[in-house]
Amino acid sequence: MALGGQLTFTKQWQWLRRFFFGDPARRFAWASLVLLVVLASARTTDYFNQWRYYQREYGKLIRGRPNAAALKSRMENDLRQIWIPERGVVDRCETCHVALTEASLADVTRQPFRPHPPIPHSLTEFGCVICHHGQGAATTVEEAHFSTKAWEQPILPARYLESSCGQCHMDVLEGTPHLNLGRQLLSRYGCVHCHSVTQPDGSLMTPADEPPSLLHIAEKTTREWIFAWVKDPQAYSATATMPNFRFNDQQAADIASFLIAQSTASENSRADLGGNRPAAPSRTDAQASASLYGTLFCASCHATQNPAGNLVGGDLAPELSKAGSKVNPEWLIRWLKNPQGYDPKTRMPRYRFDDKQIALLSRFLLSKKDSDLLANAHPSPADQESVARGKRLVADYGCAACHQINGVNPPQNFAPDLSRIGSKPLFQVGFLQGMPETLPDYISGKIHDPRAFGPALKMPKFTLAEPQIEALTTALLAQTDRAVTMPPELVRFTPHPKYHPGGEAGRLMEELRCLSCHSINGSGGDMAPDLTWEGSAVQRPWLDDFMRNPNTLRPALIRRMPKFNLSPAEIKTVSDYIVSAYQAPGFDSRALDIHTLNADAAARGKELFYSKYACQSCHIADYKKDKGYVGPPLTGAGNRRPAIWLYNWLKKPQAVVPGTLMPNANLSNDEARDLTAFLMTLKARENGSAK
Amino acid sequence: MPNSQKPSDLGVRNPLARWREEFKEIFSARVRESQLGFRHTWYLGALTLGTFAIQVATGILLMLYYHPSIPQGYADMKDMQFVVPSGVLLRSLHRWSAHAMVFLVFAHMAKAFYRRAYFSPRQLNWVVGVGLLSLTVLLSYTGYLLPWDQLSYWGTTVGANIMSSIPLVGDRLRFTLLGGHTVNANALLRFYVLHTMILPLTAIMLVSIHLWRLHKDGGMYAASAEKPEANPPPAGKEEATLSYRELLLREITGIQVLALVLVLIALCWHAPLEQLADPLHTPNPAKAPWYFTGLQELLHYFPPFIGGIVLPAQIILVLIVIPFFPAGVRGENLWGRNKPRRLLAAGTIVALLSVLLIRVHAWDALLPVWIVATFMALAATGFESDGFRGWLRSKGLAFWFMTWFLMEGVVLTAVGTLFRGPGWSWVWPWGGN
Repeated sequence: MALGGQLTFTKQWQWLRRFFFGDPARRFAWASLVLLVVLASARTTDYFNQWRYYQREYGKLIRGRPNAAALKSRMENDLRQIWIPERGVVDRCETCHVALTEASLADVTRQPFRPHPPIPHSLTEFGCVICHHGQGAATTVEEAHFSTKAWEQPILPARYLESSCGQCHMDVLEGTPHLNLGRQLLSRYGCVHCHSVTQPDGSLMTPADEPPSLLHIAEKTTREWIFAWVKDPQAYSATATMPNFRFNDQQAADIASFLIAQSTASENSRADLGGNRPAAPSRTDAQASASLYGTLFCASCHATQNPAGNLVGGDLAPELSKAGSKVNPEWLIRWLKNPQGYDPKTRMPRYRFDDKQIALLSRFLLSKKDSDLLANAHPSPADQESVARGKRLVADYGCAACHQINGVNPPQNFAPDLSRIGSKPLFQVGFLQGMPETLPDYISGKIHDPRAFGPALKMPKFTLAEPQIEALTTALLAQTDRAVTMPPELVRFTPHPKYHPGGEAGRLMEELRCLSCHSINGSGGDMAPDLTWEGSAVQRPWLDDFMRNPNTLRPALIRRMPKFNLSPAEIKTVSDYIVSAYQAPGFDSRALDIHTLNADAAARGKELFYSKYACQSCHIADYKKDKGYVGPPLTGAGNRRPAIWLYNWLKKPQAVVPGTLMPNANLSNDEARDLTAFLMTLKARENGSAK
Repeated sequence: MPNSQKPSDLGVRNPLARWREEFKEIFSARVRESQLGFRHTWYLGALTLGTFAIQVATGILLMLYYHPSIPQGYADMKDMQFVVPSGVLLRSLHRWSAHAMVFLVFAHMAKAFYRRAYFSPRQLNWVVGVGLLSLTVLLSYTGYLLPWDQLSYWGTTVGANIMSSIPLVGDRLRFTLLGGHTVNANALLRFYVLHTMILPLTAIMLVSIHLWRLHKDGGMYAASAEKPEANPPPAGKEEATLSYRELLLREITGIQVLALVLVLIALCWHAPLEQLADPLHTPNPAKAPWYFTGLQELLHYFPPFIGGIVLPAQIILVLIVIPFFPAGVRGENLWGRNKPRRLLAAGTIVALLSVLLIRVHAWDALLPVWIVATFMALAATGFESDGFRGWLRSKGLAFWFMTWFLMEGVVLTAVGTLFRGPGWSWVWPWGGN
């Protein structure tokens, strides 16, 4: 049986062989047939590709939905692409992400069918890849989203997505907190002292920090303190932005030696100390000096540690918790008298403190000591060699990129240019072992611990929290090739020309460093109100009074305008200038007839204030009755504001102060006039500072 | 004597019949029955022609999509990959078929050589064949640049740099080929014109001459004819058979099977495409296309002038003159006469070569030298007239030279392609070094 079966099999096999390969013609025929079939079926592989699968799945997804017919009619079963030749965009993402614009599918979470969340741009304006990265031309999941041999830029992780906005937008956008923070950190932490960062408009990012000049450092502090500080800046002040360079004892001692040796005499060193001699603080002094520190509003800019260990105060200027362990008492007195005599570029205003105030303040500050700080600071002796070594270190580590130092020129292009870091080809990147090989991971890893990438690298470790590192990475990822070569018409940027007030008043305002806190014409700080139109916004007598004794309108704030002790002549100069130079356009006095602001109008205005518009829910017109603390109290509004300003303000608050919380109540002209009349009757002296 | 006999019925009126007769004329009129089988020629010539046909067909289709410009050329590759129906298949088929053609053309040459199909009156056809071999390599090389990705850009750059090491004219030649000092848009355009116009037309011309000469020289060479000078027309009608039906059918079947295999390969493995060419990013190692990696390996050991020019030029020269070289033509047993003198000469050459190769640490190039030397020694010391040793003893100088050349080619190409990593250091293809 088995033999028979085998025989049959052999016979069948031979028959098959003859049938297929019997003669050349049959072989030819069969080869032709098989080749044709294979060629024909090769063509059909196109019908089993990924994008057709996803389009079929989408068909199933929408089948049961109420608006299925509408969805289906908008669906083309074919390759779809966004093609913008002038921007080099060929994005076929829509081929699988078919429902990007279908708002009715908001509940769908399954990819690739989720609709795109609302954004300020239309999807066809820029395509997908400019923001999301990835390979737009690809129609397979792997090639489109991941790093492959043919495309190394994968999809940008969602947490860094804001970086894409930064390719065009240079302004602070509401929707990009990470990017804004990252850019602020780039300039605040001095990154751009060493690294160049070109912005989309072609300009270089400028540093916003002002690292202290070290030209006269020996007057200010001791070699021991420099030694301790250089070794670990955060030990002196946890909020210090100076990074830790991980110097060893010898290096720190050498740098301290050199910095002391290079120091020259400042203008201040020749200044007379006057009646102020450093003296040990007594107990009663301590009380008085602490309260003086408070009433002068030093905390608007400087922070100190309170007894509970929390930092209280602003971050515009150095923390003073341990200042007593740092500064030379005589230097401190001279500094308080005239900071610009020590450092002409400091942001600290020149207050007109009297000798008593200076004595109290300096005693207060000198009492802020930490005996542990310098307990172990015993640098090796400062000989010539140590100074020479220190100079070499200072040059090697680029200290002069941030600080002014005698005999060391600021290095040019000290660190790699970061203008195109967001498009850095991965082949140029040396990844750490075990690190995910993507650009965001590299950048954040590099910020996190620069020296991990090689002990010879000079970049120090900055004290940054994780969210800050993420924000910095976001800001750096915005520095793509595309950003740097962006056509000017796409760059969104409101220019801020540097503004310097002129003349004698200008000199005075420089000296007072008004622009450290206030901003005028787009220049200056953002801590205090913008003064660009201040001349139109206040009455002259009020302004003089305020300069003499700047009691704030909002007593609840910690940061307040300090008292400068200006002389009457100085006040006149500054007030004259403000009133004449900072006049807003459009405050046409013809819009409001002053004579209509009579008692009747005021009575009607009072009615509107308290009933129709319920202004008292935010403002206080009468301290006995009203409890509104959101807006400023208006008890002195009639002294402070010109009527025409109030009228305009009431009608269109956003037009007068962009971004204000004050709502636009759409007042009629008459209502605005009546309210103005009422407010002009509020002439209480503020906080009893009347003279 | 060439077979110049013309079929008498060339004058028939019927155009179809006339065409058939002319076709017989172009192809080989007669062929021996023993030559029909696969074993005789492995159909290498026909298969090479088949790959050329595939190249022309797929190439014309590819031309419908391809713009020779930067970076559009690369974008077109992406479109082929992602949008064009069966675009990947088309491109992969073109790529693998090109590799197959280069390989087949070398194999065809080797087969023709070992079958001694290059003796008079076939010297001219041999030379035309060497020309076609160079054309094939040039076609493949010019096509290599067109995708404009990293692979093609740097492969072409390496190849062009080899060319510039020719003394006196090298730089000028390179400039002429590239239309500039570096591989750029001009080079792309020139390579495109060369690849799609000049070289294919030249190849078609040479292929026609090759086939016509084959016919004029008496059809397919008969291995059974021992004396090359006396390559007779097929003896006796009973042994001969009309060719175009029998042979053509078989060879076309062979081509179809090859096409089938290539299509299946192209369906499974796609033609490589790397990132857009970046002149600032040199991959390490930057490798030329595989048929040049042997040259690149030589260049690793020798100065460009020697490794890139003298040795390859010598090889091509020797290939060309082989049929005109008396020792080769006679196919005389190398050790038959003047044995001591010849032994001395051969020993000296082997020793000199070995010293040279050892000095430059070219161990992989040394291997074929010693293998061939060993077999030559075996042939020289033996007295048998049959068996393997006897077969070795019957071989002439040309055989030894060609064997050595092919071995070097295979070894150096394999090492250059598979065993070289960053900085041209030795690596194992499966990882590690």
